[in-house]
Amino acid sequence: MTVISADRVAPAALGTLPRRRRRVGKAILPVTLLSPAVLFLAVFFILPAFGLLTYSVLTQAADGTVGLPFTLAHYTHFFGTALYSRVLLKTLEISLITTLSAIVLAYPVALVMARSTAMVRQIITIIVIAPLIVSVVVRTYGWQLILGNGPTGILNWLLLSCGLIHAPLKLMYSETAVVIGSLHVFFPMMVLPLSSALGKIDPRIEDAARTLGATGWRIFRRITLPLSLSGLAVGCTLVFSLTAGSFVTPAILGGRDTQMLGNLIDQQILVVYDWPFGATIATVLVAIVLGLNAISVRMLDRRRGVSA
Amino acid sequence: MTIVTTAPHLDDLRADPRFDVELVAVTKRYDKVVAVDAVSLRIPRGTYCCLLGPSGCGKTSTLRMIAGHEHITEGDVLIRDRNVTELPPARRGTAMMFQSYALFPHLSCLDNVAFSLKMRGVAKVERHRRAREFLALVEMTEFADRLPAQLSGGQQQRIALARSLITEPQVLLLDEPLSALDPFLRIRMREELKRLQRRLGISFIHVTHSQDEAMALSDLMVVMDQGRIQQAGTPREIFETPATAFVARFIGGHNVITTHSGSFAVRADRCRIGLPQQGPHVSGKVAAVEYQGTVVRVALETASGEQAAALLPDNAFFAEPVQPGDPATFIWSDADAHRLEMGA
Repeated sequence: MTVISADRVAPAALGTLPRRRRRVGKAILPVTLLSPAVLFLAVFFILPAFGLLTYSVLTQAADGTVGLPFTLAHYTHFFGTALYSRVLLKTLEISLITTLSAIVLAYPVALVMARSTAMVRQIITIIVIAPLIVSVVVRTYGWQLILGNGPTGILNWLLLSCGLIHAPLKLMYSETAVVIGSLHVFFPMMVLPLSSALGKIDPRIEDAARTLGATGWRIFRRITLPLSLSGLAVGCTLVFSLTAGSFVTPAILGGRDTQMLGNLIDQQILVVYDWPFGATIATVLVAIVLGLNAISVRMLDRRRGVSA
Repeated sequence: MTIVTTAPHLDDLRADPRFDVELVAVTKRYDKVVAVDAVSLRIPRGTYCCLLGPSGCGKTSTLRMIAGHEHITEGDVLIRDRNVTELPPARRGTAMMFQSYALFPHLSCLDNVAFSLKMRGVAKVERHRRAREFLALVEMTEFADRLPAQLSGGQQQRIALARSLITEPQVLLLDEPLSALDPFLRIRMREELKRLQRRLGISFIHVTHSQDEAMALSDLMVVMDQGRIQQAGTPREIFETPATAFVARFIGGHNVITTHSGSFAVRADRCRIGLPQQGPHVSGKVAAVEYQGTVVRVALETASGEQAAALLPDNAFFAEPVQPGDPATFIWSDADAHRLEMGA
């Protein structure tokens, strides 16, 4: 059988001139479309980030001026001091717990969203996104009222009046409070990518699994979960990074031993005026978060294989 | 290659059932719409059965009720004398092949085929060995480690077949299995489906809207319309003696002629152009002439607006050709006219 391919005929028919013009046009358009965003990011993100990196290796003189010589002293100071390592570990711990809790809470919501009608999906989306509309400070003070440690804290009062507890719980100024506060804000970052990934799964694939003898949990474990890993990877990256970088939530809801790197940076910059050391902590935070995300995304990608 | 059959099912030990599937007045209602209306059907052992009909005729609902994917409003489904009406899909002894194949995109072909064995807790070595047997059955051995996205449509279909057959079903259900393939591949795959059915000796129930496909494959052809079975029989019975005007029109190749004494069907290839004599005939103007290679199709429109067509052998046509607009008369012998039931 002979097949006459169309692309062998096409160039002669198209002619040379219009083709070249079209190719140049094709190259210019994406550049034009991208340049405003690239310019914006370069001026307001990449330059400052480079400045931050530079600050972290400069020396601060006794009069507060920052300049040469270059030094790595801030980094050795950071990793050599037990307090800072402890805050670093606490930051990672709180971010990890928040991310894991978000996964557990978000999957059922995302599953319902992916399987329901457009209207139900919109209503759930609005409810899920609602916390983002309120300022982080206002929202966090709200949690302070709810989690208050005395018998007048709303949650304690509720549990006491129901007779579920006999003495008020210590909720505020704890890791739990920070996790709850963070979870509330960053929950949509997990739900939305998950539900979008789940929505792309052909429901007949689950029908097929059922025909082949799989039941509820095993369908989830063997089919739904692996097919939604892309959404899970995005969700985890967002929630972990945002929690690790948070500052207001631990400042208001956390106690002395639940300070996170964000609070440390705040102290160094605004209280101690040690900009080089503040820059160092920030650099460490960014590097660790980027590194962890790269690893987790790589792991999820490998499990997913080359699936389309 | 050999297919190892499992120990005979307890139900099979009693009197050998004559039918693979029996539908007893099966009805499906969605709210007030009746999708399937008291359908009864018996499918003998080892039958290739095609459910044929236009979209919305209830053929897919019927298939999904046999599979257990659709709740049965009224009636019973028996598989080899066992009432499965209330059983979940995986416990009916049926397997279903979906129109979109519904392969698991994240699993290799081998793991796709082995999936049901994994769900039954078969050890890895054993289930991979069995899965390879079934990959060999559909001639896909060398694709074991590929992912579905790396296969062509026809190859995906073979994997879907192997994945269904490894459950050793008593009945294989196929929902429009060939509609996603190009015409060339469709004809090849349908030959293979038939060969596979003969080799396995189980019943296949195949839903299609293509009469060619149904004629080519069926031992038992079931023509459905408006939730009811219009006619069931061998393709030859149905083509030679269509029961109703609907069946005659749907399977094609027939003219439905209405006279004062009722309607009858006459095959288009039995009509000739001739002079109106004593015999049966229909006269009008030639509406279209289509050259189709071995035959020429002449379409006729009568004065009252009725349509008829004749398939003439090419040499007969070119001996006395007609043009659109020419007056013409179709004649046929009395023996070729087949009386239709009233109704539809």
